[in-house]
Amino acid sequence: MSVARPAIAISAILLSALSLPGLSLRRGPVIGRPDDESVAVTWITDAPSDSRVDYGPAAGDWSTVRSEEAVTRHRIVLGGLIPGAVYRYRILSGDVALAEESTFRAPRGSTDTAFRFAVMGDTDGTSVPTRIADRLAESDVDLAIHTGDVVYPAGAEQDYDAQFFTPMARWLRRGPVLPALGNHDAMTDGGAPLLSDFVLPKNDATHDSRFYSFRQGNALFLCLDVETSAFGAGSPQYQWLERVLSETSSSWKFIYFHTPAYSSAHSNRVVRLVLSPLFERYGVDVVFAGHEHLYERTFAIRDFVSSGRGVVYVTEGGGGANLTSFRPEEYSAYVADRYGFVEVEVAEQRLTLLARDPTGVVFDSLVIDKSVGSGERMPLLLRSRGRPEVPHGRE
Amino acid sequence: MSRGSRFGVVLAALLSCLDATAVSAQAWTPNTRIDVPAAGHFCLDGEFSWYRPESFVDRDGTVERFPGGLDFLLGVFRASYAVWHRLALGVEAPYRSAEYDDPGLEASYSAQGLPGVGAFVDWAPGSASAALRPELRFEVFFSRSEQDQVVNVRDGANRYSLTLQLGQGEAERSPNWRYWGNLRFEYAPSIVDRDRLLETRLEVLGGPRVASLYGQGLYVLILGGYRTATAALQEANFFDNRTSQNGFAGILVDWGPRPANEAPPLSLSVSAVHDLRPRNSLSGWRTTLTLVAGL
Repeated sequence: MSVARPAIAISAILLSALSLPGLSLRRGPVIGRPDDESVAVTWITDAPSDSRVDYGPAAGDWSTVRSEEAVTRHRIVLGGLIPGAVYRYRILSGDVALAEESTFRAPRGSTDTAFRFAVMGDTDGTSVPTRIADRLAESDVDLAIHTGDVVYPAGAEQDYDAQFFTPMARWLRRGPVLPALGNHDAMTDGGAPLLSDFVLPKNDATHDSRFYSFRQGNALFLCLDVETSAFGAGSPQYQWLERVLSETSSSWKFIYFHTPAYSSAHSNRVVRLVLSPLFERYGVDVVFAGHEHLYERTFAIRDFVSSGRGVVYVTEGGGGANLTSFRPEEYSAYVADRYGFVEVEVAEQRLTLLARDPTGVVFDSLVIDKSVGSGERMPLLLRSRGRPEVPHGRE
Repeated sequence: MSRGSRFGVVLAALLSCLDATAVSAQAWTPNTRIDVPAAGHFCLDGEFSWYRPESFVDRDGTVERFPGGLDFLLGVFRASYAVWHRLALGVEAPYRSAEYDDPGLEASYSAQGLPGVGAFVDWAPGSASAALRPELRFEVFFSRSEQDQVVNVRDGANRYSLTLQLGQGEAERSPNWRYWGNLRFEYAPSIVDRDRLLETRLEVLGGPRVASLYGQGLYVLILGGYRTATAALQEANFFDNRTSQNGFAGILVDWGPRPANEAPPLSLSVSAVHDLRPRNSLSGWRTTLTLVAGL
């Protein structure tokens, strides 16, 4: 036996004596988004214990929400928040703080007309997701949507921590990721691990969150499930989508799901034929998808044709999975097989979309200004801020 | 009748038939029947199919119904000439039209055009007097470059196919029954963004003579089969990149001599077929009219 072994054993004994017996943090804290007024904080401990979250405005007093139930998967929902306000919080079990204090932003009210959000997709490995999480944590985005294939290779529960929650931890303690179901996520129990690992809004058509909507400021977001739920005419999802779109008064409408309707790699033609007319009829602004491991932005498309007005389709699948080859289609405004994420800034009638690589460099951008023109949305293409835009570029 | 005048008669009959079916909005499907003409003779084959899938069914059986009408029309003209005993060379020229009409759109969208051209070799090994008559077709189809529109009429992937047909030889020829079957393998090499395609299709048909018409038997055949492919690449549209399967069944009304070069030199068939238990596949009715002429 070497001399080092007793030293390691003594260190382990001392560390275990300093922590709560049998209790350590395995995941979290993770911010969730159960509805348009609340925030959920979740974490996992390796032994059952009670749950407690202390939170409060940046310069205010602490409030506490606790649950005495002894669990390993902890979930505390914080309601009654001031819309759009930044809160600090900390998680505790057994009255012992389990992680450093962090902050989150409460969901914004419908009168709030300026905010940012991010889009990512097909997160694989740890390098790219970690760098994306770093960029999000450094940015001022409120939330991130995920276009699906959160965990490779098959969305298994045992892979979620190593493949997603650990690489994304720096962002997840500050803001939510709201994912769509990808085909890889659905390989395990039809996507059950994803649905249990994320706190997501509900829909009023089914009993789960395979598809859902939420509002942030003056924007409506709809997440669709084109992998495990029927979306064809007459299906509950199709009817729900049409109803939500027809009833909304939000200025901006964003939709996201996994397989792209328009892609220079592989388009989901069924989604295109069934859903695109609905998007156009109700004035959806941008549709985000993933599945193809690249970044692509189309010209505005109406009636299946890139006409300069209509719906812009963005594929963001550059979250770390092996990049996909492509052949630029006529409707493609920019396509590149490169890693990254998308950042969108909404400011009243103006939207700015920036495609960033994992280091934050902008390689494509788009402005949609609804105040321009005679009531028609006219997307205006701006120059890249990161480097001169090279349509159909390759990294 | 000279060979030239016979050709004129057949062509006139073919054209009048095409015109009539266009007016009455009927349609047809690709013919899987192989007719190897006698040495020194021609075989002309015109067929039209109308396929109206009401839905796409995914790999789990989830039915995605189209909110509007999706229609695929396909006309195929084939001409072959037997250069040797039981060996014929032929060419194929299809014409495709596709249309999508959604209630949410300002207009319906359609595309028409020539998907490409094909060349084939038909071979009937063995004796015609045997109980079963095997016939083989090897075909190369050169597809025009891919497009990505509302609905496509071409997909850019060349095809290599081999079809084995087994039908009644003279020894088994019965005036009261008609049957045959075929097995088809199709291969398309990978193109830029798409894996290679392998498709296998098995089809069997059989049924009794139910009437006589102009001295020829009128047969009603039950048709059934199964198709499996590595991707849902159907009707020149790439619907899904995962394996695609479906069964199919229907009815075929067949009139005229088999083989087609026997007198009279015309045979006609009409079929209606529906997809069964599709997975990653379109589902709908396909109706077909086929006219085969030998001269």
